[in-house]
Amino acid sequence: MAGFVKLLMIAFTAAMVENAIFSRALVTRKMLFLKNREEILTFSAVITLMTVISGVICYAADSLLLYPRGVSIYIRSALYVLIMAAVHTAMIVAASRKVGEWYARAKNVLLMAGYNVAVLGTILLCSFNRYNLWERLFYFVGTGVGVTLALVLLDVANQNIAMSRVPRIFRGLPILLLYIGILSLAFYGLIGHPITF
Amino acid sequence: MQSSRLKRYRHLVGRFDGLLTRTPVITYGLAIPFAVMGTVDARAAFALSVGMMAISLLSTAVGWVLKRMGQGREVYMLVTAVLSSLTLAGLSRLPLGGFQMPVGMLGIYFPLLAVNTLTFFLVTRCDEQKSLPANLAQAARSVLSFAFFVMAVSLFRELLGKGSIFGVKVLSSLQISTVLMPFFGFILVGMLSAFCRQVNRSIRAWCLIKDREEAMDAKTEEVKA
Repeated sequence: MAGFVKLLMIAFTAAMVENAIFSRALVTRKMLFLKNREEILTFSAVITLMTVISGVICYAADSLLLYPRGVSIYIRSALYVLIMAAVHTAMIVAASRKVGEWYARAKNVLLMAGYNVAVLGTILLCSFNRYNLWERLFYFVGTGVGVTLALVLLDVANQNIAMSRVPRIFRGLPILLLYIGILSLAFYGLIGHPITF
Repeated sequence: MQSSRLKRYRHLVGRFDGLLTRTPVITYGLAIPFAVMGTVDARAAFALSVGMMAISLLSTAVGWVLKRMGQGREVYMLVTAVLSSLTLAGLSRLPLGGFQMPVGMLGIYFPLLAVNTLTFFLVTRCDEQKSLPANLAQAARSVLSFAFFVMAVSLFRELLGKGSIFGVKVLSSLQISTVLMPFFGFILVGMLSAFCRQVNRSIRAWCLIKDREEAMDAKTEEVKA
Protein backbone atom coordinates (compact mmCIF):
# COMPACT_ATOMS: atom_id res chain seq x y z
CA MET A 1 0.00 0.00 0.00
CA ALA A 2 2.79 2.40 0.94
CA GLY A 3 4.49 1.58 -2.35
CA PHE A 4 1.35 2.37 -4.32
CA VAL A 5 0.90 5.68 -2.49
CA LYS A 6 4.53 6.53 -3.32
CA LEU A 7 3.83 5.80 -6.99
CA LEU A 8 0.72 7.99 -6.91
CA MET A 9 2.75 10.80 -5.35
CA ILE A 10 5.29 10.45 -8.18
CA ALA A 11 2.48 10.78 -10.72
CA PHE A 12 1.07 13.79 -8.87
CA THR A 13 4.52 15.39 -8.74
CA ALA A 14 4.98 14.90 -12.46
CA ALA A 15 1.51 16.30 -13.24
CA MET A 16 1.32 19.24 -10.87
CA VAL A 17 4.41 20.06 -8.87
CA GLU A 18 6.99 19.52 -11.64
CA ASN A 19 4.63 20.26 -14.50
CA ALA A 20 6.42 19.82 -17.83
CA ILE A 21 5.21 23.15 -19.18
CA PHE A 22 4.94 25.47 -16.18
CA SER A 23 7.87 24.24 -14.10
CA ARG A 24 10.26 22.90 -16.72
CA ALA A 25 9.33 24.95 -19.83
CA LEU A 26 9.23 21.81 -22.00
CA VAL A 27 7.00 23.49 -24.54
CA THR A 28 7.09 24.46 -28.21
CA ARG A 29 5.33 27.28 -30.01
CA LYS A 30 3.05 24.91 -31.92
CA MET A 31 1.87 23.36 -28.64
CA LEU A 32 0.78 26.82 -27.44
CA PHE A 33 -1.44 27.40 -30.46
CA LEU A 34 -3.22 24.08 -31.03
CA LYS A 35 -6.50 24.76 -32.81
CA ASN A 36 -9.18 22.99 -30.76
CA ARG A 37 -9.83 20.53 -27.94
CA GLU A 38 -9.71 17.56 -30.31
CA GLU A 39 -6.20 18.50 -31.40
CA ILE A 40 -5.13 19.05 -27.79
CA LEU A 41 -6.42 15.66 -26.69
CA THR A 42 -4.92 13.92 -29.74
CA PHE A 43 -1.58 15.58 -29.15
CA SER A 44 -1.59 14.76 -25.42
CA ALA A 45 -2.57 11.15 -26.06
CA VAL A 46 0.19 10.73 -28.64
CA ILE A 47 2.74 12.39 -26.34
CA THR A 48 1.78 10.11 -23.45
CA LEU A 49 1.85 6.99 -25.64
CA MET A 50 5.21 7.97 -27.16
CA THR A 51 6.66 8.66 -23.71
CA VAL A 52 5.39 5.40 -22.21
CA ILE A 53 6.50 3.13 -25.06
CA SER A 54 9.86 4.87 -25.62
CA GLY A 55 10.39 5.17 -21.89
CA VAL A 56 9.89 1.45 -21.27
CA ILE A 57 12.34 0.53 -24.04
CA CYS A 58 14.82 3.13 -22.71
CA TYR A 59 14.48 1.63 -19.24
CA ALA A 60 15.27 -1.80 -20.65
CA ALA A 61 18.32 -0.35 -22.42
CA ASP A 62 19.38 1.45 -19.21
CA SER A 63 19.08 -1.61 -16.97
CA LEU A 64 20.59 -4.18 -19.30
CA LEU A 65 23.20 -2.15 -21.13
CA LEU A 66 23.88 1.39 -20.04
CA TYR A 67 23.87 1.54 -16.24
CA PRO A 68 26.12 -1.54 -15.79
CA ARG A 69 28.70 0.01 -18.16
CA GLY A 70 28.51 3.47 -16.56
CA VAL A 71 27.65 5.20 -19.84
CA SER A 72 27.29 8.97 -19.46
CA ILE A 73 23.87 10.65 -19.80
CA TYR A 74 24.87 12.41 -23.04
CA ILE A 75 25.63 9.18 -24.85
CA ARG A 76 22.54 7.59 -23.28
CA SER A 77 20.45 10.46 -24.65
CA ALA A 78 21.69 9.69 -28.18
CA LEU A 79 20.34 6.15 -27.78
CA TYR A 80 17.08 7.51 -26.34
CA VAL A 81 16.61 9.69 -29.44
CA LEU A 82 17.19 6.64 -31.66
CA ILE A 83 14.58 4.68 -29.68
CA MET A 84 12.13 7.63 -29.88
CA ALA A 85 12.69 7.87 -33.62
CA ALA A 86 12.03 4.14 -34.06
CA VAL A 87 8.87 4.24 -31.92
CA HIS A 88 7.61 7.35 -33.71
CA THR A 89 8.20 5.81 -37.14
CA ALA A 90 6.40 2.61 -36.06
CA MET A 91 3.47 4.66 -34.75
CA ILE A 92 3.20 6.60 -38.01
CA VAL A 93 3.33 3.45 -40.13
CA ALA A 94 0.75 1.69 -37.92
CA ALA A 95 -1.55 4.74 -37.90
CA SER A 96 -1.33 5.26 -41.67
CA ARG A 97 -2.21 1.61 -42.34
CA LYS A 98 -4.85 0.96 -39.66
CA VAL A 99 -6.63 4.33 -39.34
CA GLY A 100 -5.75 6.07 -42.62
CA GLU A 101 -8.58 8.62 -42.49
CA TRP A 102 -7.68 9.76 -38.95
CA TYR A 103 -3.99 9.76 -39.88
CA ALA A 104 -4.60 12.16 -42.79
CA ARG A 105 -6.29 14.62 -40.37
CA ALA A 106 -3.84 14.17 -37.51
CA LYS A 107 -0.58 13.92 -39.50
CA ASN A 108 0.80 17.29 -38.40
CA VAL A 109 -0.01 16.64 -34.76
CA LEU A 110 1.65 13.21 -34.97
CA LEU A 111 4.80 14.70 -36.44
CA MET A 112 4.89 17.44 -33.80
CA ALA A 113 4.44 14.95 -30.98
CA GLY A 114 7.21 12.67 -32.15
CA TYR A 115 10.41 14.68 -31.78
CA ASN A 116 9.22 16.69 -28.85
CA VAL A 117 11.15 18.20 -25.94
CA ALA A 118 8.45 17.03 -23.51
CA VAL A 119 8.95 13.36 -24.48
CA LEU A 120 12.75 13.34 -24.42
CA GLY A 121 12.86 15.62 -21.38
CA THR A 122 10.62 13.29 -19.35
CA ILE A 123 12.69 10.23 -20.28
CA LEU A 124 15.91 12.06 -19.39
CA LEU A 125 14.53 13.17 -16.02
CA CYS A 126 13.62 9.59 -15.09
CA SER A 127 17.04 8.42 -16.23
CA PHE A 128 18.77 11.14 -14.17
CA ASN A 129 16.76 10.19 -11.09
CA ARG A 130 17.33 6.44 -11.68
CA TYR A 131 13.66 5.55 -11.26
CA ASN A 132 12.67 1.90 -11.52
CA LEU A 133 10.14 0.67 -14.10
CA TRP A 134 6.95 1.33 -12.09
CA GLU A 135 8.14 4.75 -10.96
CA ARG A 136 8.90 5.65 -14.54
CA LEU A 137 5.48 4.44 -15.77
CA PHE A 138 3.66 6.53 -13.18
CA TYR A 139 5.92 9.51 -13.92
CA PHE A 140 5.21 9.22 -17.66
CA VAL A 141 1.45 9.00 -17.17
CA GLY A 142 1.58 11.86 -14.67
CA THR A 143 3.52 14.00 -17.17
CA GLY A 144 0.96 13.22 -19.87
CA VAL A 145 -1.89 14.27 -17.56
CA GLY A 146 0.01 17.43 -16.59
CA VAL A 147 0.67 18.38 -20.22
CA THR A 148 -3.03 17.79 -21.07
CA LEU A 149 -4.19 20.00 -18.21
CA ALA A 150 -1.68 22.70 -19.08
CA LEU A 151 -2.68 22.75 -22.75
CA VAL A 152 -6.40 22.89 -21.86
CA LEU A 153 -5.65 25.82 -19.50
CA LEU A 154 -3.74 27.58 -22.26
CA ASP A 155 -6.57 26.95 -24.74
CA VAL A 156 -9.01 28.60 -22.33
CA ALA A 157 -6.50 31.45 -21.89
CA ASN A 158 -6.22 31.89 -25.67
CA GLN A 159 -10.02 32.16 -25.95
CA ASN A 160 -10.21 34.72 -23.13
CA ILE A 161 -7.31 36.72 -24.53
CA ALA A 162 -8.96 36.75 -27.98
CA MET A 163 -12.01 38.40 -26.41
CA SER A 164 -9.98 40.96 -24.47
CA ARG A 165 -8.49 44.26 -25.58
CA VAL A 166 -4.84 43.36 -25.62
CA PRO A 167 -2.33 46.01 -26.84
CA ARG A 168 -1.16 45.17 -30.33
CA ILE A 169 2.45 44.59 -29.39
CA PHE A 170 1.43 41.94 -26.87
CA ARG A 171 -0.95 40.01 -29.13
CA GLY A 172 -0.11 36.39 -29.85
CA LEU A 173 3.07 34.96 -28.35
CA PRO A 174 4.09 37.74 -25.87
CA ILE A 175 0.82 37.76 -23.91
CA LEU A 176 0.72 33.97 -23.82
CA LEU A 177 4.28 33.82 -22.46
CA LEU A 178 3.33 36.35 -19.78
CA TYR A 179 0.30 34.23 -18.92
CA ILE A 180 2.45 31.09 -18.66
CA GLY A 181 4.91 33.02 -16.52
CA ILE A 182 2.19 34.00 -14.05
CA LEU A 183 0.88 30.43 -13.88
CA SER A 184 4.45 29.21 -13.45
CA LEU A 185 4.77 31.61 -10.51
CA ALA A 186 1.67 29.99 -8.98
CA PHE A 187 3.21 26.55 -9.45
CA TYR A 188 6.46 27.78 -7.89
CA GLY A 189 4.37 28.87 -4.91
CA LEU A 190 3.02 25.33 -4.73
CA ILE A 191 6.52 23.81 -4.65
CA GLY A 192 8.15 26.47 -2.51
CA HIS A 193 11.68 25.77 -3.73
CA PRO A 194 13.57 25.69 -7.03
CA ILE A 195 13.59 22.33 -8.80
CA THR A 196 16.81 20.87 -10.11
CA PHE A 197 17.50 20.55 -13.80
CA MET B 1 3.36 53.52 -53.56
CA GLN B 2 5.82 52.92 -50.69
CA SER B 3 7.57 55.90 -49.15
CA SER B 4 11.35 56.09 -49.63
CA ARG B 5 12.41 56.16 -45.96
CA LEU B 6 10.18 53.22 -45.19
CA LYS B 7 11.53 51.39 -48.23
CA ARG B 8 15.09 51.99 -47.09
CA TYR B 9 14.24 50.76 -43.60
CA ARG B 10 12.64 47.61 -45.01
CA HIS B 11 15.69 47.04 -47.20
CA LEU B 12 17.97 47.47 -44.18
CA VAL B 13 15.79 45.11 -42.14
CA GLY B 14 15.91 42.55 -44.95
CA ARG B 15 19.71 42.58 -44.94
CA PHE B 16 19.72 41.61 -41.28
CA ASP B 17 16.94 39.07 -41.67
CA GLY B 18 17.27 36.34 -39.07
CA LEU B 19 19.98 38.22 -37.18
CA LEU B 20 18.29 41.35 -35.84
CA THR B 21 14.87 40.97 -37.41
CA ARG B 22 12.60 37.93 -37.69
CA THR B 23 14.67 36.39 -34.92
CA PRO B 24 14.01 32.79 -33.95
CA VAL B 25 13.20 33.27 -30.26
CA ILE B 26 11.40 36.61 -30.22
CA THR B 27 9.58 36.53 -33.54
CA TYR B 28 8.93 32.84 -34.12
CA GLY B 29 8.95 31.59 -30.52
CA LEU B 30 11.46 28.82 -31.22
CA ALA B 31 13.72 27.16 -28.66
CA ILE B 32 11.58 28.44 -25.75
CA PRO B 33 12.81 25.85 -23.17
CA PHE B 34 16.41 26.94 -23.73
CA ALA B 35 15.61 30.65 -23.69
CA VAL B 36 13.73 30.25 -20.39
CA MET B 37 15.69 27.58 -18.49
CA GLY B 38 19.14 27.80 -20.07
CA THR B 39 19.65 31.50 -19.37
CA VAL B 40 20.24 31.38 -15.61
CA ASP B 41 24.00 31.49 -16.12
CA ALA B 42 26.12 33.09 -18.87
CA ARG B 43 28.43 30.06 -19.07
CA ALA B 44 25.43 27.75 -19.57
CA ALA B 45 24.09 30.07 -22.26
CA PHE B 46 27.47 29.97 -24.00
CA ALA B 47 27.47 26.15 -23.95
CA LEU B 48 23.93 26.19 -25.36
CA SER B 49 24.99 28.55 -28.14
CA VAL B 50 27.97 26.41 -29.12
CA GLY B 51 25.83 23.26 -29.12
CA MET B 52 23.08 24.93 -31.12
CA MET B 53 25.53 26.24 -33.73
CA ALA B 54 27.18 22.85 -34.18
CA ILE B 55 23.97 20.86 -34.60
CA SER B 56 22.18 23.49 -36.69
CA LEU B 57 24.94 23.79 -39.26
CA LEU B 58 25.38 20.02 -39.47
CA SER B 59 21.62 19.41 -39.70
CA THR B 60 21.19 22.12 -42.37
CA ALA B 61 23.92 20.54 -44.50
CA VAL B 62 22.47 17.03 -44.12
CA GLY B 63 18.91 18.30 -44.64
CA TRP B 64 19.97 20.08 -47.86
CA VAL B 65 21.50 16.85 -49.19
CA LEU B 66 18.42 14.79 -48.25
CA LYS B 67 16.05 17.30 -49.85
CA ARG B 68 18.06 17.25 -53.05
CA MET B 69 17.69 13.46 -52.97
CA GLY B 70 13.91 13.98 -52.79
CA GLN B 71 13.47 12.72 -49.23
CA GLY B 72 10.39 13.78 -47.28
CA ARG B 73 9.96 15.60 -43.98
CA GLU B 74 9.79 12.42 -41.89
CA VAL B 75 13.19 11.28 -43.14
CA TYR B 76 15.11 14.49 -42.60
CA MET B 77 13.56 15.09 -39.17
CA LEU B 78 14.60 11.62 -38.10
CA VAL B 79 18.14 12.03 -39.46
CA THR B 80 18.39 15.52 -37.91
CA ALA B 81 17.39 14.32 -34.43
CA VAL B 82 19.75 11.34 -34.45
CA LEU B 83 22.74 13.26 -35.86
CA SER B 84 22.18 16.12 -33.41
CA SER B 85 22.13 13.82 -30.39
CA LEU B 86 25.35 12.12 -31.52
CA THR B 87 27.00 15.52 -32.08
CA LEU B 88 25.95 16.71 -28.63
CA ALA B 89 27.27 13.49 -27.07
CA GLY B 90 30.59 14.22 -28.77
CA LEU B 91 30.60 17.87 -27.71
CA SER B 92 29.96 16.91 -24.09
CA ARG B 93 33.17 14.85 -24.18
CA LEU B 94 35.33 17.78 -25.32
CA PRO B 95 38.41 17.78 -23.10
CA LEU B 96 37.86 21.41 -22.09
CA GLY B 97 37.15 21.97 -18.40
CA GLY B 98 35.70 25.38 -19.17
CA PHE B 99 33.14 23.81 -21.48
CA GLN B 100 32.27 20.63 -19.60
CA MET B 101 31.28 22.44 -16.45
CA PRO B 102 28.53 24.61 -18.01
CA VAL B 103 27.31 21.57 -19.95
CA GLY B 104 26.89 19.83 -16.59
CA MET B 105 25.04 22.88 -15.22
CA LEU B 106 22.44 22.60 -17.97
CA GLY B 107 21.26 19.19 -16.78
CA ILE B 108 18.75 17.72 -19.25
CA TYR B 109 18.66 20.88 -21.37
CA PHE B 110 21.94 20.20 -23.20
CA PRO B 111 20.93 16.77 -24.54
CA LEU B 112 17.48 18.22 -25.22
CA LEU B 113 19.04 20.39 -27.94
CA ALA B 114 18.79 17.29 -30.16
CA VAL B 115 15.03 17.86 -30.57
CA ASN B 116 14.92 21.63 -30.48
CA THR B 117 12.47 23.47 -32.74
CA LEU B 118 15.05 25.96 -34.06
CA THR B 119 17.10 23.23 -35.74
CA PHE B 120 13.99 21.59 -37.20
CA PHE B 121 12.83 25.00 -38.45
CA LEU B 122 16.18 25.66 -40.15
CA VAL B 123 16.17 22.23 -41.81
CA THR B 124 12.54 22.62 -42.97
CA ARG B 125 13.26 26.11 -44.31
CA CYS B 126 16.43 24.98 -46.09
CA ASP B 127 16.00 25.56 -49.83
CA GLU B 128 17.49 22.80 -51.99
CA GLN B 129 17.37 25.12 -55.04
CA LYS B 130 19.90 27.47 -53.42
CA SER B 131 23.54 26.59 -52.85
CA LEU B 132 24.72 24.93 -49.65
CA PRO B 133 26.82 27.94 -48.48
CA ALA B 134 23.77 30.23 -48.83
CA ASN B 135 21.67 27.88 -46.68
CA LEU B 136 24.46 27.54 -44.12
CA ALA B 137 24.83 31.33 -43.97
CA GLN B 138 21.10 31.71 -43.27
CA ALA B 139 21.26 29.02 -40.56
CA ALA B 140 24.33 30.66 -39.01
CA ARG B 141 22.56 34.06 -38.92
CA SER B 142 19.58 32.58 -37.07
CA VAL B 143 21.75 30.74 -34.56
CA LEU B 144 23.87 33.86 -33.97
CA SER B 145 20.66 35.71 -33.22
CA PHE B 146 19.67 32.98 -30.76
CA ALA B 147 23.14 33.12 -29.18
CA PHE B 148 23.01 36.89 -28.86
CA PHE B 149 19.58 36.69 -27.25
CA VAL B 150 20.42 33.96 -24.71
CA MET B 151 23.75 35.58 -23.80
CA ALA B 152 22.10 38.96 -23.19
CA VAL B 153 19.28 37.45 -21.11
CA SER B 154 21.63 35.19 -19.16
CA LEU B 155 24.02 38.05 -18.32
CA PHE B 156 21.06 40.02 -16.97
CA ARG B 157 19.64 37.10 -14.98
CA GLU B 158 22.99 35.99 -13.61
CA LEU B 159 23.89 39.52 -12.54
CA LEU B 160 20.58 40.07 -10.75
CA GLY B 161 20.15 36.51 -9.50
CA LYS B 162 23.66 35.61 -8.37
CA GLY B 163 25.53 38.91 -8.48
CA SER B 164 28.11 37.43 -10.85
CA ILE B 165 29.07 37.47 -14.53
CA PHE B 166 30.47 34.29 -16.05
CA GLY B 167 30.84 32.94 -12.51
CA VAL B 168 32.93 35.90 -11.34
CA LYS B 169 31.37 37.64 -8.33
CA VAL B 170 30.70 41.27 -9.19
CA LEU B 171 27.97 42.42 -6.82
CA SER B 172 27.99 40.79 -3.39
CA SER B 173 24.96 42.64 -2.05
CA LEU B 174 22.54 41.95 -4.92
CA GLN B 175 21.06 38.43 -5.16
CA ILE B 176 17.42 38.17 -6.16
CA SER B 177 16.94 34.42 -6.43
CA THR B 178 13.47 34.69 -7.99
CA VAL B 179 15.13 36.04 -11.15
CA LEU B 180 16.52 32.53 -11.71
CA MET B 181 13.08 30.86 -11.58
CA PRO B 182 11.29 29.66 -14.75
CA PHE B 183 8.43 32.16 -14.37
CA PHE B 184 10.87 35.08 -14.66
CA GLY B 185 12.27 33.58 -17.85
CA PHE B 186 8.80 33.33 -19.41
CA ILE B 187 7.89 36.87 -18.40
CA LEU B 188 11.24 38.25 -19.59
CA VAL B 189 11.01 36.57 -23.00
CA GLY B 190 7.40 37.75 -23.40
CA MET B 191 8.30 41.34 -22.48
CA LEU B 192 11.35 41.37 -24.77
CA SER B 193 9.22 40.08 -27.64
CA ALA B 194 6.70 42.90 -27.08
CA PHE B 195 9.49 45.47 -26.70
CA CYS B 196 11.11 44.48 -30.02
CA ARG B 197 7.73 44.72 -31.76
CA GLN B 198 7.24 48.21 -30.30
CA VAL B 199 10.69 49.33 -31.47
CA ASN B 200 9.92 48.07 -34.99
CA ARG B 201 6.52 49.79 -35.04
CA SER B 202 7.96 53.05 -33.71
CA ILE B 203 10.67 53.15 -36.36
CA ARG B 204 8.18 52.38 -39.16
CA ALA B 205 5.79 55.05 -37.84
CA TRP B 206 8.63 57.61 -37.68
CA CYS B 207 9.68 56.76 -41.28
CA LEU B 208 6.09 57.13 -42.48
CA ILE B 209 5.58 60.47 -40.71
CA LYS B 210 8.85 61.89 -42.02
CA ASP B 211 8.07 60.77 -45.58
CA ARG B 212 4.59 62.31 -45.43
CA GLU B 213 6.02 65.59 -44.10
CA GLU B 214 8.52 65.67 -46.95
CA ALA B 215 5.77 64.89 -49.48
CA MET B 216 3.60 67.68 -48.04
CA ASP B 217 6.51 70.14 -48.17
CA ALA B 218 7.24 69.16 -51.76
CA LYS B 219 3.59 69.63 -52.73
CA THR B 220 3.41 73.03 -51.00
CA GLU B 221 6.48 74.20 -52.90
CA GLU B 222 4.97 72.97 -56.16
CA VAL B 223 1.77 74.93 -55.51
CA LYS B 224 3.77 78.07 -54.62
CA ALA B 225 5.80 77.74 -57.79
